[in-house]
This record gives sequence, structure tokens and C-alpha cells, in this order.
Amino acid sequence: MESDTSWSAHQLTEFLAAVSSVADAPAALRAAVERAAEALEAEVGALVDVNGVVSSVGFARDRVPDAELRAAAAARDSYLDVPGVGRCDVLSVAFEELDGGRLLVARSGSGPYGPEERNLLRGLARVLSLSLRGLRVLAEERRLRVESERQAEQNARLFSSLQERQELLVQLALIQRLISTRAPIDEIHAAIARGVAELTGDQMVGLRWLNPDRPGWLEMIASTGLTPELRDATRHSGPGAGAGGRAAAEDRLVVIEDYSEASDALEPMVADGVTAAMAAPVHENGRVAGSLAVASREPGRRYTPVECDILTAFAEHVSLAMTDASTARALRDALDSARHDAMHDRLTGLPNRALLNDRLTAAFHRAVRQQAGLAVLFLDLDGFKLVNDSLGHAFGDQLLTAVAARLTSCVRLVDTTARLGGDEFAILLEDIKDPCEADRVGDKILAALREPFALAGQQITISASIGVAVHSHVEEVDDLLRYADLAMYEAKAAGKGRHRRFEQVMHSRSLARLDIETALRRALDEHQLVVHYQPIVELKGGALVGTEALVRWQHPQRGLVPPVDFIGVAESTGLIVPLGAWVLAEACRQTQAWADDHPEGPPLSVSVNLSAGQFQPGLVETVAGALADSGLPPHQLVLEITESTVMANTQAALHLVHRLKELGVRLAIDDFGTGHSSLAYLRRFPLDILKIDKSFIDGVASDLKEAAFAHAIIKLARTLGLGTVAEGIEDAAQAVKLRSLRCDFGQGYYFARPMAAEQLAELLGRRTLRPPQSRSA
Amino acid sequence: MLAATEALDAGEGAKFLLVFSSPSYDLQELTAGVAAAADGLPFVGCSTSGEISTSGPGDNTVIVLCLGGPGFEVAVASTTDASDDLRRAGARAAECMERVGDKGHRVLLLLTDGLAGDQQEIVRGAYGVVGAEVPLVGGCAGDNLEMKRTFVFHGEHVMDNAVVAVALTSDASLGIGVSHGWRPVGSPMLVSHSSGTRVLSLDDEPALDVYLRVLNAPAEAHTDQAAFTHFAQTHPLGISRRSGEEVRFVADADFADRSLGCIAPVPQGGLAWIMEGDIQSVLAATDEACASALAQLAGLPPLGFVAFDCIARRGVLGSEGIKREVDRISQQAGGAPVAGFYTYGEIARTRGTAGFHNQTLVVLALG
Repeated sequence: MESDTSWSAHQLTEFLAAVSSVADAPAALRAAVERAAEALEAEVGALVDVNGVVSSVGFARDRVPDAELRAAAAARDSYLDVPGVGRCDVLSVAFEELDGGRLLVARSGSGPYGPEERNLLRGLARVLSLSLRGLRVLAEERRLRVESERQAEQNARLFSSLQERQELLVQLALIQRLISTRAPIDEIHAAIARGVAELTGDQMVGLRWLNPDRPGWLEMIASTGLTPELRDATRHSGPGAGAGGRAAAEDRLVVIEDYSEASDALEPMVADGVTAAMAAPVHENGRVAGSLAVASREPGRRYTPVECDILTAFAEHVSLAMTDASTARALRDALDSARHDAMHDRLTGLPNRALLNDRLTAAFHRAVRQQAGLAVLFLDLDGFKLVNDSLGHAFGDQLLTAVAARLTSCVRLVDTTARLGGDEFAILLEDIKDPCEADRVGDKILAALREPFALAGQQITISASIGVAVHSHVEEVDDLLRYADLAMYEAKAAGKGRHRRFEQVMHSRSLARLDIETALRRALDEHQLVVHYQPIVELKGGALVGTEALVRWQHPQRGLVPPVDFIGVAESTGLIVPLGAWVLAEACRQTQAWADDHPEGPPLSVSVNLSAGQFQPGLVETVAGALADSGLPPHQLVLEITESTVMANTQAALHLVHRLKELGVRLAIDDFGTGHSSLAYLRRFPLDILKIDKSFIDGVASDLKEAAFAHAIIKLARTLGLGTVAEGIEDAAQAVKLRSLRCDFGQGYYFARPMAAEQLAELLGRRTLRPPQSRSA
Repeated sequence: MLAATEALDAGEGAKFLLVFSSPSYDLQELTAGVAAAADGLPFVGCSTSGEISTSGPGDNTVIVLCLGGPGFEVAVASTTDASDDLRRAGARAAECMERVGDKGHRVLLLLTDGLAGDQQEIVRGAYGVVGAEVPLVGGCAGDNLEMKRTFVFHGEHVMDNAVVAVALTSDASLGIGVSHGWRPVGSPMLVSHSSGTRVLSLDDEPALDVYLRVLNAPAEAHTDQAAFTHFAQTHPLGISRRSGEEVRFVADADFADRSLGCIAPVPQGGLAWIMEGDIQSVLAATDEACASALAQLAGLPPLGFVAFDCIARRGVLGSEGIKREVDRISQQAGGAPVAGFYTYGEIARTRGTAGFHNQTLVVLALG
């Protein structure tokens, strides 16, 4: 079978998984000995140290030959007589975690051990010591947890070393997969370099191979995080030079801290600002074949024992991988697809985030060096989630693919269009002369997306919000994408379907948003929110018929914060859901409380605004709960929805609205006339009340044309059998005019401003607010 | 109890009885009957998914094998609540080995509840007690492929979630043969996510989807649990080991989370193949197992064969095929009695430390 050669590499992964899953050190040792014997198909496995046998399998438990095992572990090419089995060949390797520790296996009849098996056992020993340290860390962490906060920092460090162990597994599995899928050797090398970089957090990794034609010289065959200059300068290195050279020459782990002081430091590395380096030897068929090195520019970098072990374990794994990969060289046909898959998004075929980051890093350094221009566009589709939810994921996928094609058509071949995930894309523009070029590409993309997409027999349009960052905005390459993202957010907040270039002020705005978000969360917890009520009156007689509930934030320092300052943040963070639910419950409770206090008069209704963010599963239950908890009769609750809420996602919204209606509540359409004012949805939605926006009221008494508009809306509402409420009435003239136009109800400063519940309670006795019969001059 | 009485009549100097019974009998009543006939002799056994005897394969039958003779000694032990700590259950049962002497040849026979969890853990526990010196042999009890509850017997105690062990020692040789006869199909896949015996994904794709696709499974296996188990019986997984691939019986599918359930663990990060077999390869394996067991008897004719044959092999062979298989075993036994059953997993450790198998035939030849 072709894959026979990779059995050992994945045995190591299995072994690591097995010993990592146990709870304590004795169990880990026992599992390790058992699994080592199983991996090498040996009858005997044992771990010995200076004091004797620590753990063993293969002997009747009361007849473990302590002295023989220790002798066999110490000698080279030894054998062991195992009762019932006979003479068994012994393979043993050092296990440095224990004083004089050795891990050994002994087996019968399979002939001598091959180099791959020797490597495997050594790898197992390394991995075991890594796991043991992890377990000690875990035990330590448990103990420290009791000591609490004093050790918080230490805990964090310990915790992260546990995570490292998990990460190691993930990285090893990745390399395992590349080997098993016969990925080209370059790709395996690259994955190794990347894996080490991720595990150690060091920027620079180099995998060097001994040059067979030049004894002692090493050739860099894969690296990550090195500038092109540095890569050129360190492509060949002499015998024993640098950490990597010494690790290969001395066949051991080499750690160099205070790199610039080291006598054997590589000059170009020192010039590049390297502060520390560490390297482990890599073996091929039992002999040193090269080294795996990491280097850091972080001042005062020190390597922990866990990090030393991670690098060693990784290098062991590389050794095993090479045994297989060298035979895999012939099988390069998987090269293109494997490389492509690793760096591309499956759905759209565009480069993925990883490839974008690679290209971005390279382009950034090029741009800095050549003083050329570089820009990143961060693009997020507007309302894609709604498309996905209402038309299905398959449709959403088709749309993403079609969007990807349009984006690609908007840029040059040299530019990179990548899908970052979900409905997020990024475009890397290289060699631009002027930031305005990036804006022009943004315009071009917005125009291209404006054309409807014909998919699955449907026409659909979707807009996008785009943020632009150019390299002069940033010092670190990592900031480019982040800044473009911030700018995208601002484009969204400014009304979507547009692009925005990053400005420093966006930073502070984003911090301010965060600030509000945090404060708002606290406000919810600490009951800083209050509901105010604005009376709604019958225009005919001035009778108080209901209120509109409006949320206010009583900030302990800032005083009363108007909704405009926090509702947007609540919407974008999802806080709108708990906030909205609270307002609803409070408004229902208060309205019923007034009814209980004043059983003599007709009960008031209460209008509560529903925002787009609340239109999701659970809304109906929330409303039903508020009604049930308060005892408010459903028809006294009016839910106000806006045009934009229902327009955005007609199908899903319609469904929810019908379910709300089934509860018996009334529905009002808010701000009618300001949006698209589609008659179609006025007919399709089961509405009861139409609220006329203040902008139509302002001129109603003074401007004939305005009055005609208002009249038309009122007539429309009456035709459809809807009640009408005029919003923002500020003077008597407006009130009189509206009454003459047969508008039913009104609200506004002319009658009363929004007020606290206690103030409103005082009005309840009166029940009539400024009947508009008489006009004051 | 007729079967037990006949077995006892046939054997002189009887020391011990081995009972394999279809779960269609009232096992409590059955063991009480055996106990009455055995008259104080120890006996162990288990429920099956079909029985094997000299006269051929059977369903709804009871097989009793009587072992004895002057050069023969046994000790028996059992543990319950095995799933609480499988390793410990294996170790505790294996301790009976310490109660018999060594007449030159020894073997520890294990009958287990294969539905209790990772059987390799039981083997590890037993191996930890007896070491490499004593071969392990045995099988997991069955329940006619219902996969609900299987039982082992220790005398009149009928137990599920249990392990029963028999320490055998004899002055004559004991031979153990193991063979499966499956071969891998298609290219290897990485077990990208597994947890114990559940395989969640292969090559990062839901394991069930890959499995059904690669094997072009019939439509009903995509939705029906029974149809799936029936299909999976003849399509195990193979996992990579130094000396080749080890077989894993696929027992069930979770249609909701798209995972596969196996009878033994499938390690994450390892390579796996889907395997297939046919009548010829499975029968060839039968000959190989018997021949290998016989070879260890140093040329002496066997006094009996005990066969632990995977239920999945039965699935491949069909009802005609298993007759041919048992005929072959009987032929190789050369007239000596054959007793055995169709198992949910087989135990044989003669080399190395791993000793739990799937989809395999294990033959114990008594010299």
C-alpha cells in the first residue's frame, strides 16, 4: 500500500491525542507506555528512570523484571528475554523529563528496528514530555485557582501553554493531512514553517536542509516572516552558523537568547533586529538532515520549556514527514489542486483570507520599499443575511458567487479579490498612483452591483458598503484590513450602498461606539433606562386616548441621553432585542397600572416602536409574554413598525406580522410617507393605523401643497379602513387643519411632550388636552 | 439440559463447560438447566448472533463444549459494570490467571459485552495483568444483530455490561489463529474529527456523507438505521497500522449529526480506508486462521476448535457461504468438535499488545 510509509507520522499524532486526553501524570505515563508498544507492535513497553521501572506493559504484573529492563534500556542494540515470548529486540530512547529516563519497547520476530521506528519512538518520548509538562501545568493551574487573583497573570500564561498543546495537535494534524493527501513537498515545508510560527508566536521561521554537495552548509527550503532581503541573505549558511546551523551540527536543541551578543549569530539576522532564536535538528532516516529554527524581534524574548518542547516535537514530526515526503516527490500531480484549495475559498474560487494576507504582506513591503501606492477595499454586502434567511442558503451562495464574478471584473488582473468569509470581500489594489484611484474602483464596484442579478428565475439587487484604506494610513500591514473594515462600518452607518475612505477620526468614533455599547449593557443591567410617554389625543374632542412609549436613558453622568445616540448602537450590537423587550414589558405594565388606578374612564392604548433588529424569531413570544405578564388587553397595545423594517424583508416580515396580529394587538405603520410608501405593502400588511410623519405636518396649515399631500394620505388611509395619527403637531393651526382633513388622532408638543409616567398619571384625571376648537391668536 | 448432558457424557474428566446460546432462549432458565446438568462444574458463556458447531452454523441453538482431562486446569472470574472503567474490568477479570498454575501452555479466554464501550481498553487491562506471557483470545457476545443488549454468563449469573474471563492452562499446546480477508477500497482519508468510537468527519467532510458516497450505498441506507447497519456489516473501515490496516466494524449512523459509530475507537488524526470483502477473500481468511492455529499444535491433531467469527463475515458470506465456512473449519479440525459463535468483535493477542479485532475470525485450537 502506498501509504505504508506514513504510518509512523500519524501514529505520533494518535499518540499525542491519547496521552493528551488523560487526567493525570501516572495515567499519561501508563497510556504512553501502552501506546508506544502498540504503535511499534511490540510486546513490551516500559519507562525507566534512575530509581527503576516507572511504568511497563508486557509482563505479568507481579513479575516485572526491574533490573533487566533497566539494563536493556541503558545498553545499545540490546535484547530482552520475555517470558512466553522469547527473545525480543529492544529499542530505547532518552526521556528527559525523568532523571535518567528512557522509553523502551521490545518485540519479537519482526527483525531489527528501522530508522523510521527509531525516529517514531524518539518523537513519542518528546511528545510525552510535552504532555507531562502540560499536565503539571494543569495541576498547577488547579492549585493556583484557589489562590485566586494574585496569580491571575500566571494563570493566563499557564492556560495559554495548555492551549499551545491543543494548537500543536491541530498543526500536526494539518501537516499529517498534507502528507496523506500527497501534497507537494514545498507545500508541506510551507505548512511546517507556518505551523511553527503560529505555535511559538515568533515572526520568523526557517526550515533548512543540509546541502549534500557542500558538507555542513545549509540551504533554506522554506521560511515565513522573513523579508525578501533577509531571505536572500540567509539562503545559504555555513557549518555551525546561527541557531539552525548549530542545531544541525550538534544534533540537539539550540536556544540563543540575546541574539546580537551571540558569537555564532548570523549577521543579516542581527541587522534585521533579531533578539532571540531557537532551533531543533530535523532527521531523515535517522541522520541529521537539517534544522527547524524560529527567531523573534521581540525585545527580551525568552523561550519557555514548553516552547522548547513544541519546537522539538514539531521537528520530530517533520523528520517523520520527510521520510514519507521524499517518496512522495514523484506524486506531484496533486500539487495544483492542493495548493489551490489551501489558499482559496471553496464557494467562489477567490483567494481566501490566508492568501490575501500573504499577498498583502508582500505588497505592503514592496510598497514601502518602492514608495508605491497600495490600497485595500473592505466590502460587505448590505442586507445579505435577509437574502439568505428569506431565499435560502443555496440562493445566497449563488448570489455570493455572482457577486464575486462582478468584483473580479471591476479590477485589474494584478489586483487580488478575496472572500474573507460570509458576505465579506476584500480587494487589494497594488501600484496605485493616488488614493482617488481606490475611490474610483469603489465607484465602479457600486455601479456594477447596481445591475440586478438574475438568479434561479429571480431578479435581485444587492448593494454593498465599502471601506477603503491606503497604506499611508498605517504603520503595520495588519492595520490595513482593520482600518478598511472600520471605514466600511462608517459607510454602512452613513446609509449603506456607498464607500468611505478611512480617516483617523473613525478610530475615535469606533471607540466611542464601543464606549456606548459597554455603557448601554450596563444601563440594561442597572436599570438606567426609563420609558417616557407622549400623549395621543383625539383631534375631534381633545380626549386623551393613548400614549406612545419612548425609551430614555438616564445616564448617571451624562443625564438623559436621547434615543438617537444609542438606538443605532443597540441595533448594530443586537442589544436592541433585550432593550426592546424591556420597553415593551414596561409599557404594557404601566398602561395596565393606569387602567387599574382609573377604572372610571375608557382605558388608554399604548404604542410601542419595533425596530428592524427586533424582527426575528422570538418576537411574537416576547409580545405575548409582555401582554400576559401585565394583563393588558391585546387591542390596547399598538405596535409601530417602520416602512424600512417591512420593506427590507417583505416575506419574513409579513409572516411575523401576521403572527403578531393573531395575538390581537393593533399595528401601526410609523413615519408613513418618508420612505418608498409602497401601496402594495399597505394592502398586504394587516395594518390598523397609519401614522403621518411630522414632515408632512409641518406645513399643513401654511402651505396648500403640503395640505394636499396630508389630505391624500388621510384619504388613502380611510379608503383602506385605517385610523390616522398625525405626528409632531406643534401648534393649534396644524391641529385644526388636520381635524378638518378628518385626521383621527394627533400627538406633538402642542398637546404634550413625552413625559415620565408619574407626570402622565396627573393627566389621567383630566382626560382632555387642549381641545382644538379655539385658535389662540 | 440436553446439550450440556450430551457434552458431559462425551467428555471424560470434565473440568469446565463453555456455553454459547442464542438470546432467543430465556437465558436465566438456560443457565439454571446447565448448572443442574454440570453438577458443580464451572461454566461460562454468552449470548450470540448465531452459533457454530461441528454440524454447521445455526440460529436459535445452544452449543456446549466440555473441556477437561488430567493435564488441564481452569479458573474463572467476572466483573460487572464494565463501562464504568473498562480497563479495570479487564484487569479484574484477568486476575483469575493468578489462581491457576502453569502446566506449560496457557491462554486467557475473555467473553465480553461488546456494547459496553472500547473493547481495546478491556484488552489493555487484561494485558496489564497477565503480560505477554499469556495469549488472549475471545469475543464479544451478540444479540442477533439487534445491537441492544448482550449477555455473558458466569455460572448461573447472566450479566450485561460485564466481562467474564477463563484462565486455561494445559500440558498440551494451544494454538490461536487470526485472519480477516478484507481489502481497502479507494484512497486513504484523514480522520479529521473523531471521539472514541464515533467518527464525525473524514477529510473534513461529515463521515456519514463520505461513507455513503464512496460506497455508493443503497438509498435506504441513507435514511434507515436497520438498512444502514445491514449495509455497513459488509463495509468496515480500515485504519493504518505498521503491519497493515486494522478493521473497524461500522455499527450505526447518526443521521442528524452525520457521524458513524464503530465498535472500536478510530483515532483522530489517523488515516482510514473503507474496506470491502467478498466470499472468496473471507473464505481464504478462514483457511488461514485455522491453519495458523493448527501450526502451533506442533503437529498433534487438535482435540477441539473454538471459533469466534465476526457477524460481519457472516453478512458477506450469506447463509450458503457460512455453511461452507463452518465445513472448512470442521475439515481442518479433522473430526474434533467445533464450537463457536458469531460475535460483535473478536479478541486475539498473540503478538504485540493490541488484541481487539473487528470483522475477523479467531480460532483457538486445543491440542
